[in-house]
Amino acid sequence: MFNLQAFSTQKSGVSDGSVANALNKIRSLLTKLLHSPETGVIELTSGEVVEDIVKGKIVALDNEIYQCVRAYADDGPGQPFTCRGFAVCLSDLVEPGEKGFFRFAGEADTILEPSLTPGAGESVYVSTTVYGSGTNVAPTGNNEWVRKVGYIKDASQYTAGPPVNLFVRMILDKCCENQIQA
Amino acid sequence: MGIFNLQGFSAQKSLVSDGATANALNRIRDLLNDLLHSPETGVLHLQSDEGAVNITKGMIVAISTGANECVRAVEGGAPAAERGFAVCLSDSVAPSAWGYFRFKGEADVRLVNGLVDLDEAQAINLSTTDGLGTNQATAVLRRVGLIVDATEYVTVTNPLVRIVTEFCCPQVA
Repeated sequence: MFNLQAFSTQKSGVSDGSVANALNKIRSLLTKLLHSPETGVIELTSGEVVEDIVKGKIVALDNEIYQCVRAYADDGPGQPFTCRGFAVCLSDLVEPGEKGFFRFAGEADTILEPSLTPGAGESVYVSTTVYGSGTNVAPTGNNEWVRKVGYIKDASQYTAGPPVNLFVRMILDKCCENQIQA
Repeated sequence: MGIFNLQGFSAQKSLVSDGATANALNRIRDLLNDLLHSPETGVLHLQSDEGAVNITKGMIVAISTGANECVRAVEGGAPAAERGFAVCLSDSVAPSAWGYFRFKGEADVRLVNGLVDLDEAQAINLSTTDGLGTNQATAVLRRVGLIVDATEYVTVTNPLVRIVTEFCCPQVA
């Protein structure tokens, strides 16, 4: 997300003056806007019990108020709460029960499975093997579900390493749409 | 859930109201106000194409055939009533009046009465009642969004749930 901390309101000015006060209000409002659903960001609580949700992981809405879990495409219709309403974690790390920020519209750096050869323009699907990761290979197995999350805009940073970098820049696409079974 | 209230953002406190600084701050406020009522932040300004019925807050609308017009959306209705969904943010939009509608982000959406099994992460679809949603499957599914908070729903008196949506052009099932 945009870093508004770089927007200084005190340069060459009195920090508690009326102008600085007004500018701080502007910064506060813009910060709220950039962390709001109006700009594609939602604040959710991790419903995970043990695992942390790290930056770039794909999550799905859980069946609790404003709660999410790592998405997983092999759960099928019997466990729908790991495969609905996708978003990508923007926070560095969200521990179980803690709140974090997640993007459901726009662009986000997203973690893919290892050992892929992703390219720009390809679709990204929820992984059937790694919780919270994406893949550019559409699931085809029995009981696997095709959960399309978006499209790769830039895969140039993805590398098997060392050091390993599993991020691609993804454009999220209709993350609330119906999904289909492979 | 509506639109940010910028009225609380005072740009004139302790400043000369017609001075250059106050003038600049007011322009910033006007710009932000425009931004928060724009498609860039998920909001459309539309005119009601209804003939006799008001569109109330939380109702689901679809893009109508006239320029910048909308009507209450309904499953099984004419094609124009099943295209380009958005949720009414204004308290009440009279026929031919203009109002604000959200097509991306969070919105409190109005549902049919009598639903007893609402839960977070459920899908909200168009119902067969004009402008209202349901968590029940319908003959032709038209998904509007997913529930993030169902706790405020009370049938008849407050049939609203908070949903998140990021699309306005749902594909045919």
